[in-house]
Amino acid sequence: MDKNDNSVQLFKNNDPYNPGFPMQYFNKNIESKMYQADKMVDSLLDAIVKESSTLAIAAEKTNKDYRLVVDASDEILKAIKEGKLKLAYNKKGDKHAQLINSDGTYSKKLPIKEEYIAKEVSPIEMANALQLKALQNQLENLTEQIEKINYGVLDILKGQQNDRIGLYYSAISLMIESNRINDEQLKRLLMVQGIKSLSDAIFQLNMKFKDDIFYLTSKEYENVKKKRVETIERKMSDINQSFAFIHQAMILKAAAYCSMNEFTAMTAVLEEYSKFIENDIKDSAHILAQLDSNDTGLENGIWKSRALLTFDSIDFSRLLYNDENILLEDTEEN
Amino acid sequence: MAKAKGCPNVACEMNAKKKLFNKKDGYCSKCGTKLEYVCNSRNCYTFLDENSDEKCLKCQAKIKDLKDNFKDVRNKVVGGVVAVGGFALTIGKKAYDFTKNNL
Repeated sequence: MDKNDNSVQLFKNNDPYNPGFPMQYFNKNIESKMYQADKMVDSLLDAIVKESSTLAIAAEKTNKDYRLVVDASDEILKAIKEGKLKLAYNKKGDKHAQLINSDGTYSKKLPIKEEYIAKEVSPIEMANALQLKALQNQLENLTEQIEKINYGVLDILKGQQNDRIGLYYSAISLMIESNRINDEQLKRLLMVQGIKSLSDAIFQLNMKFKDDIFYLTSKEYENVKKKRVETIERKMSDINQSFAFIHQAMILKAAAYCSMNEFTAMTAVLEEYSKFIENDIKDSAHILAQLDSNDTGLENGIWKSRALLTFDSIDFSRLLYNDENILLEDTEEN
Repeated sequence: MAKAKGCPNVACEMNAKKKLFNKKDGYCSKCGTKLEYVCNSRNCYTFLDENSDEKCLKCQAKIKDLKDNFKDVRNKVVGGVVAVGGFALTIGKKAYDFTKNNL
């Protein structure tokens, strides 16, 4: 994690118990990582121009500061091409920097030179930067959709308490602690524990959310004579509360992975959120819209607009996992 | 009451007044926005899908609660009338017996 990360400042300046915190944390992390990615891509391009070689890309695989390259003269290369000289092979068939004459005797040794990899390009950071740049458009669209939902849930969050919500606050507490620790390993460990708490909270809240929705969609409230409306209102309040905390926990989890440069995990969380909306809300949105007193029932109403949150997960995965293409495209363009 | 339509334009006066249109009407007479189905209960104005009932689920539940409460009140009133009637009969019978025995 970057010590100069904006999120550290956010932890210091803002009250993490503020309902707006997860969205701010998510936005700050994305903003900060995008800025770093831009800087990294710029330095990568500078390095490519300077070195005019594929050293930086190769370094990603070797993770070394330099590599040794055979520096054969034009005459030797011509002789190898004509079959007058051959490179020595071991039993596995790997080539070695030793020339063999056409009669099988050892020839002169090949000179080797050191090639240093540009210090300003860290292969891991470079790969992260390219991944993030590839996701930029999708992330911007998704953030816009999430912010629309976020606007509706903030009022619900005030003053809510129960065991499931306790797990969510426990996660925030761990994340605050982790941002105040200097030891990188301990910092990461606490962050991971925070993520675990968020996962537990999401799971438990989701179970309650599903039960309550099933209760309403299967019209079980019909059996509560004289108190149907009261029962509906109580269940809708619970559903809104569960949804608000699931939303906050999902954003916070994605932001936590982003702060640790785990972009694949971050997109997995965002996909999970999208699937949660698709599986648990999309089909029942029209019923919830009729039962929620604050909903107009229109397409831009509370539940139907929540059901719209989706993104192309296939495209997301393709961009992330196909690193080789991203690297080639980037180098070809420049 | 049959299915009704409403104006979905939140800036329109008809929407603010929760004006119910006939289901055959296509566009708002005030702003020209395409009308959509709404719950036909007074003051509800929840927009519904085309294949929904004429009332939203919450209004349907409200009506059922009202019916239950009405039944409850009716039963209490009937029970009260029966009890008062029974009491009056008992008193009447006693008065009759008293009169018959003493006159």
